[in-house]
Amino acid sequence: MSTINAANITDGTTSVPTGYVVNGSAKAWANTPSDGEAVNESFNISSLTDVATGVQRFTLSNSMSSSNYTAVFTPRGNINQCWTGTITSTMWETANYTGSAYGDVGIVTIAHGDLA
Amino acid sequence: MIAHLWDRLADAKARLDPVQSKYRVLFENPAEPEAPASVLVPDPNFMAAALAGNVLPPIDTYIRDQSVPDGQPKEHPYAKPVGAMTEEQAIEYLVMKDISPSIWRDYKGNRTIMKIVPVELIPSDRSFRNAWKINQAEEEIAA
Repeated sequence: MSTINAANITDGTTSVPTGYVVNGSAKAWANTPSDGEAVNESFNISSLTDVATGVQRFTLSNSMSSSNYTAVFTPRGNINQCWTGTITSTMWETANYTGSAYGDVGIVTIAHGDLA
Repeated sequence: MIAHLWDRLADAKARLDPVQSKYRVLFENPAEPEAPASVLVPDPNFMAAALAGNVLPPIDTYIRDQSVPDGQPKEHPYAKPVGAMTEEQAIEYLVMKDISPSIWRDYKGNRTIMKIVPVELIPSDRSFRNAWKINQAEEEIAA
């Protein structure tokens, strides 16, 4: 594995500190099917937990520095309500609600913030 | 100098094919007896890294980091990586990493609250998903 050490990145005209790129990168992401029984694709995720109908938990391989990071998701289907539930520095939960009950739906999710 | 875990994970994802585990971990939370059983699914990239070795840190660093307060430095991203594991060892590692010690270490009750099962034993019919419990019969290990 090679490492490039540079303070700035430039296209010849505009220059930005490399910190903008590193800090602005997604630190984890995942794509799951509706039943939460597999991970289609991911990065920096160690496991997916099917907690209950409509509730999926994503646990990080490399945790975040605190629970004050941003974890967002989009259901890959028609759902009435969705929200990010419990968040800790090591995991976050997603929940999907049809309006009358929790509902299974595929998830695309992403986390931004500071790594541990 | 040891590369940061996140960098090692990125490198591993670039060079290793994902590995879909043939196991799932069923577990119940004794603190929430009314809740259904959870099903832990190993991540394919995590499994690939575990089987290849020299990516993941020692499990005891994760366990120690569980008691580190938010915002304080954690040990696991900077620890020297461990060698290759078998799939069974990787599942045990994942249990200790991603499931609360109150379930896999501290529970003293008679009820079986955690089982590692082949993926085929997870029901495909989710009609009654929120009623799933771990079967307590010794000879049957399905959910």
